[in-house]
Amino acid sequence: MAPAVLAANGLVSGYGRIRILDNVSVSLSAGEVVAVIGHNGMGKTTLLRTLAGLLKAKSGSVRLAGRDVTHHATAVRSRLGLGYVPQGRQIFPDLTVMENLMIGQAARAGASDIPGILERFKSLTALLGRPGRALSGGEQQLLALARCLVGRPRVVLLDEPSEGIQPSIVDQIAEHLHDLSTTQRLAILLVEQDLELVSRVAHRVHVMRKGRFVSEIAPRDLTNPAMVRELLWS
Amino acid sequence: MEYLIVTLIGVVFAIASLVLLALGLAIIYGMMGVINLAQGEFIMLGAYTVVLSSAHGLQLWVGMAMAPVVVGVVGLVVERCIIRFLYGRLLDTMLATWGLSLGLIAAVTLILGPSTEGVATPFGHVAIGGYAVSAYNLFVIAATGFLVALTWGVFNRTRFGLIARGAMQNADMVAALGIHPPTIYMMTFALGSALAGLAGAIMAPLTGVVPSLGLAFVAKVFITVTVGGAAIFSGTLGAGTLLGAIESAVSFISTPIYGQVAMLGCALVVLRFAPQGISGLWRRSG
Repeated sequence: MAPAVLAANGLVSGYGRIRILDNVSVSLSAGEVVAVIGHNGMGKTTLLRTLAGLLKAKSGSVRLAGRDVTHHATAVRSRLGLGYVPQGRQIFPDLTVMENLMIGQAARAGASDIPGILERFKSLTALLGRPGRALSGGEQQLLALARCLVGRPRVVLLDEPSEGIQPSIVDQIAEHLHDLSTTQRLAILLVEQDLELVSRVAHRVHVMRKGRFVSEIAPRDLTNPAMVRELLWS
Repeated sequence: MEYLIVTLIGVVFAIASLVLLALGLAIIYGMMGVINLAQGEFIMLGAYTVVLSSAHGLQLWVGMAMAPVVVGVVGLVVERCIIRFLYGRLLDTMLATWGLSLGLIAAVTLILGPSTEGVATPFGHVAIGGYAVSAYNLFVIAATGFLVALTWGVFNRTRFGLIARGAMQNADMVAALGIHPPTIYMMTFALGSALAGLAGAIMAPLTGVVPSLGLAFVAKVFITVTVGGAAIFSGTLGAGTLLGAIESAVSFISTPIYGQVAMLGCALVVLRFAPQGISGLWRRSG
């Protein structure tokens, strides 16, 4: 079995006294896409925020490429190769598309990756001078993904990339994720409600309920609606 | 014609001095949302840096160069020791910086005494027809223009500025991209403090320097920044122009007291109809 690029073990976290994540463990190898599905409020975003370091783990550990980053700040985790594309994109609305990309590059030394990224996300090239707030939801999602990738991450935490996005952009996102995992060997932890997108790109799928992983299934199982309903609700 | 030019220079000087004094706070408040009630005392420390350096035989310009460094370091220490624990807690920050303001006034009074100090105004006068205009006032106008342009360049043409603008919009996201927001906040606060120090140093030859000097400026500075709204440069320039022009025009036709009353009245009217400040109006129409 390939060594894990990202490994979380027994994570517990929440907001104040409210416990949201309850003993969650997950690991990803290079080139692997692992999806987390579940209804709203089950702890999927909390899991990603805890892995990113935006939410402090009450217990458990997070290892990135074998290094314990449990007590490291978000910025340090990012510089060690943990990329995060949050729910709702959270691009910088008053910065231009180019400035959004530049800020993604700002913490990295060495030559700019922006030309290479624009080669991949060609539709952004015509929008470089436009402020982030003037983009459509789909364009913002592509920008958020591109901004993350200019930081050259080893792992990407991707939160609901299809939310509120037109189907043609969701197709583009699926192609990018497939390509990034196969050609760039990027590990991707994908939180998603669009089961069709999950079945197209994921290698493994965790089902989350009330802050716990209740089962792990193969993506092909998502084509069985009765089974999915059973897993999500029972 | 000469009279008109002299009057115009007076109005532009009033605008420039308001913008100069407000620029540091505009950055601290606009970028970080911190209401620093000790901003007036940072201006006072800048003025005293010039007074003390002149008293030790250094040239005025050396003191002016030292002032932003000295007050920038003071700002950095204040941010590390006080402000960083209070981000997001507006009232607590106001209370803490008010206490700091009183402490700085008391400390300077104890160390340097309560008497009024000063430095000579350099350059002499420029004759415009039968009128004489202080050449130093023209220097203040030019220095303000240069400082505004330089600060705009820092925030719009440098890596630090890009990150600072990003951190202002979404600090968590900046952190997720590998940048430590507290470092950016620290540098921004130090920069805003340094600008206040420089403003105090530039204004020192025009005013008597006393420990309570900041109190004379802080109200005007806050009014300008509040009326300007969220857009640091266009807001401060717009508010400075509006308020400075009104204050100097009313002062000219009556007395400086009425000028200040008119300025305050104008601020109240603007904030009544544009609670987000005048830059909020531009954003809404844009």
